[in-house]
Amino acid sequence: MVVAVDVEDDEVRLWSRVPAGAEPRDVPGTTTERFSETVVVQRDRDYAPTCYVAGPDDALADLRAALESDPKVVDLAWDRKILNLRDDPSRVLAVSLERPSEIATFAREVRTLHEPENWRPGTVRLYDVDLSPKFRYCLERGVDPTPEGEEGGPHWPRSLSLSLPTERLAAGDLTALTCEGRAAPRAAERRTGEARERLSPDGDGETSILRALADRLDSVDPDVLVLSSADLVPLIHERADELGVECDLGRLPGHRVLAGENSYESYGRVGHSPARYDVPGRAIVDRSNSFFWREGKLPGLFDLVDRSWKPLQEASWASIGTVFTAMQIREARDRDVVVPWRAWEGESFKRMGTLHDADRGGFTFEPDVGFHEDVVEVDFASLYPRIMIENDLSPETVQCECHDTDDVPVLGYSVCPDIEEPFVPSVLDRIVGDRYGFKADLRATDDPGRAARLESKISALKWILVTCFGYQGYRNSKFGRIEVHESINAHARELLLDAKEYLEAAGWRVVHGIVDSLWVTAAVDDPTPIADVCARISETKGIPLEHESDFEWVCFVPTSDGERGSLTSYFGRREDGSFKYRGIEARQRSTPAFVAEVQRDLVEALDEHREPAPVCDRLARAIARVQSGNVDPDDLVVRTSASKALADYDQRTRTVAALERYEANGVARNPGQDVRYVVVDDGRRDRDRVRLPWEDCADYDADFYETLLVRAAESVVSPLGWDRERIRRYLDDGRNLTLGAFR
Amino acid sequence: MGRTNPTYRDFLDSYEREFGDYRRGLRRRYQSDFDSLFDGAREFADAAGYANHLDRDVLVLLSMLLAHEGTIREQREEIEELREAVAVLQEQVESADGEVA
Repeated sequence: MVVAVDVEDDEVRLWSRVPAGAEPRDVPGTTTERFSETVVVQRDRDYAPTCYVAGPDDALADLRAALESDPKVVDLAWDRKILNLRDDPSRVLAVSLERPSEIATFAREVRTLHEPENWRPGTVRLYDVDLSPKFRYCLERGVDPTPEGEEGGPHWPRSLSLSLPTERLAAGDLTALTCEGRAAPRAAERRTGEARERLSPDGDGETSILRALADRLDSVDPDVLVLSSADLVPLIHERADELGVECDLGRLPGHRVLAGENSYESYGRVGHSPARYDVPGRAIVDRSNSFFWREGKLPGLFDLVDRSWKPLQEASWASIGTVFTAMQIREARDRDVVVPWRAWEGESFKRMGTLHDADRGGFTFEPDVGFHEDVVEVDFASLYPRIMIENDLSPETVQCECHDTDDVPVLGYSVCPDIEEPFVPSVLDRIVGDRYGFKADLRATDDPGRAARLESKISALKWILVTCFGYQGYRNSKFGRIEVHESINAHARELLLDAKEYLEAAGWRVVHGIVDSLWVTAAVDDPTPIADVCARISETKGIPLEHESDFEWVCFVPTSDGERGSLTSYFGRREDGSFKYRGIEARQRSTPAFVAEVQRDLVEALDEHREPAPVCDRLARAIARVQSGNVDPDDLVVRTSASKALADYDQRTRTVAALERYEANGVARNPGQDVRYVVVDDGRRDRDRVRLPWEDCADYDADFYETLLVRAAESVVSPLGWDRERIRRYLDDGRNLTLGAFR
Repeated sequence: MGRTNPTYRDFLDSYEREFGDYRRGLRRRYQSDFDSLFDGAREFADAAGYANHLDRDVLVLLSMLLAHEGTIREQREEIEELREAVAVLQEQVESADGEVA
């Protein structure tokens, strides 16, 4: 029932929502106070977090002696912990510090003072250092930060959502603040009306907005604040102070800055992480900075909290990898394994031939570019996690020292058969199993509220499963090993090729295949039914091959130079009438809504006529619309993100023009943040090339959008052999309009 | 992945670029033949990528040959069909001739 955890240096507070008058779960070392009828707070004033140091006995003894007089250290003890999944327990020095914030200071001192003075670098290793504070508290004290009440019931955490548009936030203007929230979670209420509302309908300026907000916080008493941006926290508090209004977002006054904003680069992409704030007694979810909020909303987040024990606020801003690591850390703690501070697992030496064989990804067939009728899609469900589970692939099993068997196909690595429950597979097994269960529940339920919650959880877990394997190859991964990554890929390639052989023998032809999916059409008049082939492969291989969809038709799109099939771009119509789009403009984040909508319409035209000319007639209509100036500029917004700071660009791109406008508007845009604009004059190189969405964009650059439309149309008709030139020639002969265009 | 060597698909692109001058020196009608040679190599990039410990230049040449082999097979099948069609027509002509006679 704990929802919010405040970790401060002098005390830790656990905030829970309970049934009226009920007591929270007991946490040793805390005193309980009732905050309101259904909210209690447990205070812990004696919390001293612990980290571990390992190394040679004499070095540890020296360090222990040196730390005896360190005022930060409240307790020193010898303990036995497992330092590496493959090893037996070793003797370690357990160091407990007086304040949570001192763990980092202590670790730095060992690295930069104690070690250089006395020993060679790398003599001592630190463990359990970089756990986030709230998560660490829950782990160390055994506090489950998951709500206990019935999901969606009256004792489930309450949330309140506050939104302020970006440009108003930048201007520090709170008058446009809107709110959505319920005193008690009633799904019906949410559907029927209480959508987003102005806090003070009469709009009496900021004083009345803040008073209304204070009233709302009082009446709803939310456990979770869902904010359009965490920067609302300092803004609301400062403004309330200035105007003399009593308005606190937390259950106690004040807020803290946990981390400043920063930009970072990961796998060649620049990201941005905004500043993080903490208010006492409530968990903050920053919608602009929460991957899992986008994917799983609160139900998905709470499910991850349950699995990882990362309290809601920390789970909400965590990346997929961070949440998956937290799940592994929980499992590790159960096994007495401690977490290395700087993960370091060297790659083992291999022969050049093995390196050639191992350093490869999944198998991808060359797509058969063009229009294909009656296509069946089959795929291996959760392929990579299941390969790890089925084959016991884990850092401590692969290439074990005790066996010299040939277990991984092609690579010949051994996999230790003596380990009862391999580490990574046992974490994944629960996720795969539960997600499978959620899917079954979803099919069985007729309660729309429950269905929505299940969908959120399924979606959040999906991301853990699709990335868990990549994490094995990530150099900073706490429990990863490159050889495991290589083994998974080796198994995946063999599986896909084996599946291809089964399908071909059963009378099917492969038109495309990517890593875990195959698209096939009948090669003979009467092939073995696909269900039988799938059942046979699933049974032999131990990994379910599922019959995913039946397509009336599928188009595989060539690359833009027309030279080959693009491996990941296709679209098609399923037997049930729905369409599937992958990789084409309609699916790309940057594509303006109007262009995406036109492209979907063109695909429908293709479906209707099965030839390119009528599609181009439909395109001509869209072009006429955009040229007439009648398209709503909101639908023409291009969305991208800046890869560097404005000053670092040397090309005059549209993004640069937009960044200059953001700057002129006083809206800070850091590398990795969203940049949105409408193109108004693409011939210009200065900032009048674009306008920002909230500026006057009525006079957009129709020719620019026409180009985007033609490009989108090209993706649709290129599988039928028409390229951009051909489309232009057809359009130029405007009298070619057939009746089809006017249907 | 791709740390040890570029992927085969990337290799094929750069390999084709290396022949840029050669292609430029060709008469136009041969330029398109040249392009279809590489189209042929690309058709089998999946198999060539999977067999990645073999000599890549040989893989390119083998893929081009295989594309040729495929074309020959298709043409052989087409010739067979055309022959059958011609035989049927011939029979019809002969029986018509017979009737006339």
